[in-house]
Amino acid sequence: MGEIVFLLIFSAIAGYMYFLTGSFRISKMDISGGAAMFPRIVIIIFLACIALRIVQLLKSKDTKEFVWKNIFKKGRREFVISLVLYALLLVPFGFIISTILFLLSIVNYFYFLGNETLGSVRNIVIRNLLLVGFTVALYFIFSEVLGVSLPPGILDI
Amino acid sequence: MDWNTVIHNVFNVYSILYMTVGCALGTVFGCIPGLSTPIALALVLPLIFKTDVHLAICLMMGIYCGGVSGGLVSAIMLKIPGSSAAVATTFDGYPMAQRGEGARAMSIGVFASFFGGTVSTIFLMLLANPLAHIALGFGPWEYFGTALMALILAVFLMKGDPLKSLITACIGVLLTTVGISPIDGVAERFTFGSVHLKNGFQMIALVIGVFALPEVLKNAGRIKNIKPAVKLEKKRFYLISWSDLKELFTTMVRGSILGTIVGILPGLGGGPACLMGYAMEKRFSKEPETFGTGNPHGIAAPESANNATVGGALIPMLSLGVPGDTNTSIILGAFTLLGIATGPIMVQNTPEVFTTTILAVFVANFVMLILQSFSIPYLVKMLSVSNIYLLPIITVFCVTGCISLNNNTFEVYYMMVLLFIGYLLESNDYPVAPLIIGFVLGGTVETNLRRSIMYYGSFTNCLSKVSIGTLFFGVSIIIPIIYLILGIKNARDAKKAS
Repeated sequence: MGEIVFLLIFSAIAGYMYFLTGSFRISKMDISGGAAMFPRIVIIIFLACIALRIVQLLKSKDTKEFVWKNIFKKGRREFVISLVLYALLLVPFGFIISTILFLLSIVNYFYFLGNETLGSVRNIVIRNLLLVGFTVALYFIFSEVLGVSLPPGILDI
Repeated sequence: MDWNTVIHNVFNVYSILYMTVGCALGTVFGCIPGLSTPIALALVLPLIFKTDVHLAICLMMGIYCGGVSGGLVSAIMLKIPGSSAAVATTFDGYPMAQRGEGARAMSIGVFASFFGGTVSTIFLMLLANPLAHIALGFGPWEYFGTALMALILAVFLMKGDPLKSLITACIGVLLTTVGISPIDGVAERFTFGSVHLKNGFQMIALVIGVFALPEVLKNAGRIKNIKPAVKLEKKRFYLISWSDLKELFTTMVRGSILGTIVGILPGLGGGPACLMGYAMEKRFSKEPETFGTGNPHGIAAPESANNATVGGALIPMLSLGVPGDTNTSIILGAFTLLGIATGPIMVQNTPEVFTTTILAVFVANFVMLILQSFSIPYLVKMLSVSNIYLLPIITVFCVTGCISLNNNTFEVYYMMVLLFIGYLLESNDYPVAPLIIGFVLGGTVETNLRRSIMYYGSFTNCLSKVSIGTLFFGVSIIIPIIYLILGIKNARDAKKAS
């Protein structure tokens, strides 16, 4: 059932895309079939494949469950949450601060998950200092050497 | 073509250095289960923007060769293949390591990888140029037919359900339609008024989103399950012995030829090549019962076959501009980013780049042999350096790489959406590789289809033209029809049987 829902969501998006192709601007000089032709062909093939797959699923006796819940499995759940927060904090906090926050939180969490301890104080200090150093080095490589403008955020550098 | 330039492009200190870095990176990503060559390639893409074209090629070829071979380390020491290309290596590699022959198994695997890679590069040298010259006579209809057939073959030859592959390929092709339309350049398609979407989705963000990050996410749930490696005998260099080389030579030749052929075919790649190589060798063997108990032939055959796919896959990519797997799709995307047109135009306009690429693969195999021969113990140690550090660092690289594409965070946001789509697809046996191949080839298919219609007046006129384009188009239509008929027949047979 889960897969059917998943496929229906995709077909709804594809259907909406098909509807949008009607509003594409057309050049009078264009004799190649127009901008809408190719997306329409692909959408029709896509919808046909989805329909076939749904028929296949309905006829099949195989009751294999659609996997989506394991995204919330221990480890993955925390990773997803921290990644989403990281992406959201990039602009307001800036690259350096958000990256440091992301790395410190997730590496220490993974360390705890793998070893059931955070390690000795010396270990914790070294690990976290290295992560801060890595972030700063990465920032300078990308911004100074490669000329990429990474979000400055509150540090404004 | 100036041969001096080509030789200088590959045989200078910087090129060798880039190749070595690439091989090392590829080997590390290949040997750590969960990481893979496409991830390594995707991660370096943002870094090669400002690099010299030839150095970028050396880096990518190093990653490609090292990555396909790297999987053997964990396959032999942990019984966990670092990549799908090393699945069959576990069958005999691990039993050998268990009985204290880990160093021998490693030496055989490393040399067989080098052998396979080198043989396939010779095929690449012999076949790519003539094929590209034939393709120089191609018009838009022929390009359309070639790209469409490559896409269909990739979908139907790939492991798993072709219907699922076709669905993901359609998603990939649909994603290419976002942005300003090609040919007419007037329609803004599916941009929803966003300035960022006018140029469409970025190849790097897409690869990272649907391929790299879902792998990271998958591994994030397995932090606890780190298996200890088997102990490895200490040696300075892990080189194959003369007696092993003599004994395994024919096996490696067979594996290399098979791997090259498999590599040329779209959609297969290292995974099926290594399994087919193993199965073929077992059939040829006088002692098939020893396979699976630590037979060196069971390492030499799959390892030579999987690395031979490198040269094989580069033949259609370089000569026709058609990628056959995720690796070549990313490399093709990188060539585009570097401003190099691939396919027959490459031979005509930039023959130095064409030959440099081939020579770089050849040299990268030697660099890989030297590097892996002495770095095996360090790689084994690296296996115990868990994903605790690697996964978050790779994620940061992915995010930084996406920001660097357009100097803004928009790419990061849609990369996150693609991460969830990629994860759901992969977790439910919808292969992601056709999505990437569809994304790479979608633009070529559309542009050349529309050009053909413009050139010949209508689509029916295109079909009435006797050319290789019509033949390829016909094949692309026939393959799904045969699949459909066989599917219906099988369903009826199953119904009758029940």
